[in-house]
Formats: sequence, structure tokens, C-alpha cells
Amino acid sequence: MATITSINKEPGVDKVVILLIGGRGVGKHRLATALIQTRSSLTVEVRTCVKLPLPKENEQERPYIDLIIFIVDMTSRASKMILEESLPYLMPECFVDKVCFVAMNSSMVNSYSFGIDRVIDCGDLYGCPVLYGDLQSRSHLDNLAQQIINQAEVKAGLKYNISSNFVTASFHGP
Amino acid sequence: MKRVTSPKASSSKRPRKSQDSQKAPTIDSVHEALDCLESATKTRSLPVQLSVDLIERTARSEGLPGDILITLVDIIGRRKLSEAVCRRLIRSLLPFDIIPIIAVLKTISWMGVGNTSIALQAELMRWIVAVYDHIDQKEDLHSIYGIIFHYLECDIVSPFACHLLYLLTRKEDVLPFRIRRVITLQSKVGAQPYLTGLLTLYKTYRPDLVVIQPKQKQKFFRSLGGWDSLIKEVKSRTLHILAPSVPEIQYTMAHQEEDLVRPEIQYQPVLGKNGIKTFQELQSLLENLKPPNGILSVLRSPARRIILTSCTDRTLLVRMKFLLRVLLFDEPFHFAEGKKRRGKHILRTLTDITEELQEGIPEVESFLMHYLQVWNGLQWRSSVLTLISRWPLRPFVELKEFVLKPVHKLLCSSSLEFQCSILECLTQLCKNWAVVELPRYKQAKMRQETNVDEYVPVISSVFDQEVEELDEEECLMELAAYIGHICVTALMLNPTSPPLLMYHILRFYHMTVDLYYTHDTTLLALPAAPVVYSSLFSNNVFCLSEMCRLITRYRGMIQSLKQRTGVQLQRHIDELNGYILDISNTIWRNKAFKPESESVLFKVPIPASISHSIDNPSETFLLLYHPALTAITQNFLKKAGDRVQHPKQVISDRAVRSAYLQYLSSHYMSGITDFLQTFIKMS
Repeated sequence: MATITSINKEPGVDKVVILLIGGRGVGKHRLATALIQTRSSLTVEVRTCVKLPLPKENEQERPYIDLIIFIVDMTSRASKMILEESLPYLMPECFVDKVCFVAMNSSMVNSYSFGIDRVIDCGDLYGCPVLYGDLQSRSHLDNLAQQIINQAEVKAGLKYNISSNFVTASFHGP
Repeated sequence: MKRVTSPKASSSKRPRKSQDSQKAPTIDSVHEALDCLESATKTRSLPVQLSVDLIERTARSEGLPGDILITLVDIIGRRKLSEAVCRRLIRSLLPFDIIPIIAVLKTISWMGVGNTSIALQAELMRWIVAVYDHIDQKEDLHSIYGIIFHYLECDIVSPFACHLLYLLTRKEDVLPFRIRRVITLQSKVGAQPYLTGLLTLYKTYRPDLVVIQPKQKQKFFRSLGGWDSLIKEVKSRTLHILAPSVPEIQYTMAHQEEDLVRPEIQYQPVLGKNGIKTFQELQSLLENLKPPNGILSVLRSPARRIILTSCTDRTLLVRMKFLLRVLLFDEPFHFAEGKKRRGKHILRTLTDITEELQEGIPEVESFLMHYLQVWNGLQWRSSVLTLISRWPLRPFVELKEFVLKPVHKLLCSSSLEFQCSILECLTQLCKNWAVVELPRYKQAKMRQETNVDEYVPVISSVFDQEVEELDEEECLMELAAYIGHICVTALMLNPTSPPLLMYHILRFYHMTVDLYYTHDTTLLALPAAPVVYSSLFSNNVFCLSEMCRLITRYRGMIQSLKQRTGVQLQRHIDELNGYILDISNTIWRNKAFKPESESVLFKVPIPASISHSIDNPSETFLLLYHPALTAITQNFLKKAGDRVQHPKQVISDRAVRSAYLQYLSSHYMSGITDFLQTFIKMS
């Protein structure tokens, strides 16, 4: 069992590593493709897994992870369970500037299998951003990918003069 | 063989016969037929049959006038004739022009006498529902609301009684005991759609008393058994008699959505007998116009929207709100996959209405509150942003929580273009609050306090809402402060301060000054230091020039405010003075980055590396050497040729200086020139 922490490895230079976590069928690979195709000044590396904890083998070869994205499919109860089961395996410091939630299929309001409040509450509780996406249309997927890359750039500390905490603090207003 | 052919022959004859006789019946002959019916003792006698035939024909061809309708109702009510004949007579109750209310009231009272069978009662109730739009004084009908309510108990009459109540109900009718009774009835006969329909309407008026969730796409009321088509047919025949000169004002249901929840009744305009002659007639007509029942078709047409907003009939607005609730909350599938075009269409219509009314619709507001929480920033972007910019004046905490925070979160993870659209939208919101909402709020408050109904406000709200207690000036200031904060955040997220972003930021601040000069609204929101700082050291001429112009305009505004008493200005004056000093030190006085200058911006110590690697850091941003102005200065020097030996002459030599400033003005940089002429003493 390997927990993810932010202190045991070195980050890459001008490179972000994004870990997508989500059950089968939530669109991890489509999102990963969209992420890699997004035009950006950074080198983007995407890794996927179904749930935490990550397997013990290859632990040493795994790179430093800049951004952990939990993908929750709003139409599937199982994906919510995966989220709830996986969260305990993250070290607390990861929540400061590493985690982000994505609510997939958020526009299919009438086929929700649980309230979207659960995801919003999760974001508020851990102080992490929540993004909303759709797999159906290409433009929405690209929009989501762009938002994730922007998040990753800030969270990986590659944006000049700005940090994840600054962004969170700015929500409280002047 | 004969038997087979005979009905055919007779059926082919019958229409011809009726066509011939259609011309014949006059009002007199109908009166005679009525007399015959009144005096008749046997139903089956020939004169009775002939009279009924005559009345039926007349009714179907051109409708019956009011007095005949009243007599007919009496005949049906006395119930001397057989049920089949009564039924035929009820079917003949088609109005020529309008239905006098007395006929309807008589119908209800005859129903109570006990002569009429339940089936006939149901038929009569259905008739009232069908002709509801043609009744002349609905006020009187409304006064027997309680009596009609009793008919809910009768299973067969109940569906039509429900429908009639649905049409009649006003807010004051919705009382707890009625709701209890409908709910008890519902538990007795099951969740019948008509009862649900009535309860849904009750819920619209008193959401605090009723808790039901209607099913999606439910049709509440039974069809009217061909009544509507009958009336439509008669009306289409009589309309040209009633209004030959204005056929265009006919309402049609052509553009209505088919899957909307609505009772299927058509409204017709009530026109004078000779059409419209004068403007006054048109004016009075506008007040009497009855729009079609599907409110969405009203919302789609610009002309009808104007009628909607100028109409004094409050029920219309209640209907609109009800429909919007159904559209936006109870049928969220519009916003799901596969219905996107429809969702887009609805939102665009709503945007149009909001823009025309110049105020937000309360239903849309509560929809946006929910929607913005899960908005991905792409879906229906332009509509959503326009709707936000018309957000009504509410306590700032509410606005911040439901609008500004979600938008701010999106801004932090979005592209530059979207950040700019958000800034533009918020600028519009701020302007809307200052120019439209603030005066409207003040007037509404004054009206509420003085409690005078005759007081007609200049800008009134279409939606009659109660005025909340809030400090409106404070709200506006807080909004401006928050937008300033968002500007700084956006600037931090884009460290290169791209001109596009700077343009939108400066536009917001210019807008706050515009408010003072054009609308006489004071909104003191000085740009934050990072904004001034980025423009001053920007590589872009536009940013520098516009910032200078902004500071000059602010000075003019504060100076004229100073002459008024009662405005606390000292803090702003100090801040502004700091900015003026810094800008002049940097671009003209060669004193930038020097610790002895009392600077606001440059309290940050200059890193040693800069002071070592650059000979004279204070000179770097002088107007002559400013990175943004390099090309222009070079061009100026080239043009000047031999007259200017050294660039520094621009500062020292008066003639060269004025030529230089003129050159800047002619290249659309009058902001800089104005600034220098206002603040620097040119010796």
C-alpha cells in the first residue's frame, strides 16, 4: 500500500503529472487524451487508476504527482463510493494544493443517481476546487481539459507569483 | 339494396337542405323557436324538434346573441325537455359576441336546483370552461368561487369544476381549508391530474402551504370534447363581422410549444364592432386584449412582450412566473443532453425579455442561483452572463455567495478570454445597479413608506415584489470593491498583464467615473495599486495612456465632489495623491524608485540586482525612455531632425516639449498629455 505524499519525490521541471482517479466508464482515458492534446506551454503527463491506494509495485518509478483528480460520474452511485473509499489514503497535506474534484455528466440533471451537493460539499470540506464536465460534447471536454491544465499549472507552482493558497484565499473577497 | 342506399341519399340531401335554410334563420325566427320551446309540453312533438334544429343551425353558423343565450339556459334549467334535447341545446350555446355573465350565473344556480342530472351538470360546467374567455364580467363569476368549489365533491363534475377553478383562482382564494379539502379528495379518489393541476396552481400562489411535486409533462385537464373547435369555427365566421378592418390582431397559437403544460383554450381579442378608428380606442383596446394561454408564445413575440409589460392585469404575470417555474425547475431535462437547442432557445428568449424589461425576472434569478453552482463556464455562456448582468439589487452577501463566488472560482481556472467576459459582465452589473436598480429601489421604498397608491414611480418594477430593507449605497460600494478585487486576481493570474485584460479592467474604472458625470451617481472606486502599477510599467501605450486619463478624470470628479458637503473624501484624496505623485515621479520627474520620494507604489524595496545592473533605474520609465513609448519617441526624433540635438531637450526645451506633447496627442495618447498638463507645472 502506498499513500501519496508530497515530500518523498522531486517535481519535474516545466512538467506536470496529473493522476486521474475514477471507476470504469467515467471517461478517464477520453479526458486524458483531451488533456494531452490541449495546447499549453507545459509538458503534461497523465496517469490513471481506478481507486486508491496505488499498488506497491513500481512505487519507486512513479513520478512526483502534481495534481490528483477525482472523477465522479453523477449518474453512477459506484463512482461516489470509490471517491469515499479513496479519500482516506491521501496524506492530509495533499489537500492543500493537490486535489481537485470533477463532476462528470453534470448537465444530465434528471439522471443523477445522487445529489450534486455531495460533491460540492466534498470540495468545500477539503477546500479543493470542483469542476463540472461532460463527456458528450467535444467542446465541453476541451473546456474541462483547459480548466484542469490551468489548475495544474497553479498547483504545480509553475505560474509566476501565484500559489494554490493565494487562489483559495482570494475567494473570501477584499 | 334499397336500405343500403337510402341513408347515403338522405345524407347527401341533408347538407344541401341545411345550406339553403342556413341563410333563412333570423333572430326573429330564433325567438319564435324559443317561445315554442318554452311553451312545449311534449319533447317529441314536431315543433320542438324543428325549433331545436333551427337553434342549433343558427348557433353553429353565427352564434347566438346574449339575450337568447340567457333564455336558452333557463329552458335547459327548467328541465321540461328530455335529456337528449337538453344536451343538443347545451351544444348550441355558442356566443355570437360575448356571453353575458348573467347566463353563466343562471347556469350555476340552475345546477343547484336539482332538476338537472349529474351528466348535464358536467356538460354545463364544461361549457362554462369552454366559453370562459368570452364571458364579459369575470369578476362576478369569481365571486361565486366558493360555490363552484363545492362541485369538487361530485366525481363527474369535478374535472371541469377543477378546470374552472384553475382559471378563476387568485391569490386570496388559496386558503388552508380549501387546500386541505383538495388533498382529502385526492386521497379519496387518487392522484387525479385535474386535482394535481389545481394544487400546482395553489402551490404557485402559496408555496408555503402546499408541498407537491407535479410529474413532468403532465396534462392536467381533460379535453373539452370538441368545444374549442366549435367556438373557434363560429368565431372565425363572426370575426370578420366584428372587426373587418383589423384582421392582424388575431392571436394564433401557431408558435406554441406542443409539450407545454397548459389548458387548451384559445383567447380571442375583444374588439369593437367597427374596428379601430382613433388612437384612444387603440389605447383602450390594449388594456382589454386577452393574450393566448400559452405564455411562452407571448414571450417570443416582441410586440406581445410590450403588451405584457404594459398590461395592468396581474394574473398575466402570475401565469408567466408559473410557466417559468415549470420550465426552469420542474422540467430540468431542457438542460440535459439532447434538449440543448431547446434550452438555448428558452434562455435566449429570457435574455431578450430581461434586456427589454431592464430588470431580472425573479424566477430566472432563483434558477441562476442553482445553476451557477454547477456551471462549467461554457454552456450558454453569453446568455448566462447577460442574465447575471441584470441581477436585481439584493443584499451583497447574497450576491457574493450565489453569483460572485462561483464566477470567481471559474475565473481562476479559465482562459483569458473568459476572464475578460466575466469582467465585462460584472462591469455591466455594476452599471445596472447604479443606473437602473438604485433609483428603482429608492422609489419603491419611498412608495412603500408613504403608502400612497397614486404615486407613480418613473422606473417601476414589472414584478410587484416587496422591498427588502438594505443599504443600497453600501451594496453598490461593496460590489465595486469586489470587482476591483477580481480585477487584481485576474491580473495576478496573468503576470504579463495582457492588453486585452488591462482594457477590460480600465473599462470598469472608467465606467465608475462615467457614472458620476452622466448619471450623477457617486461610486468612488479607485483602482488598486497593482492595477496602477501594471499599467504604469506596461509595454503597451494604451494601458499607460488610459491610466493617466483615468487618474485625471478621478481628480476632476473628486474636486467637484469636494464642493458638496457630507462626502467623506479624505481617504480617497490621500490615495489619489499618492498615485499622482508616483506617476509623475516615474514618467516625468525622474524620481522613481528613490526612497526619499513619498511613494505609495514603491514601498517595495528595489532588489539590489536591479540597482546594480542598471545605471540609473529612475530614468528607465521616464516618458522619453518608457518601453511603451520607445517607438513613438524615436519617430518623433526622426521627424524633428536637426531641431533636437539630444532627447533630453524634450524636458528642458519648452518648444520641443510642446511639440512632443502635441505629437503624442495626435497619436491618440491625449491621456498622457492631459495628465502632464493637469499635474505638472510647465515652466
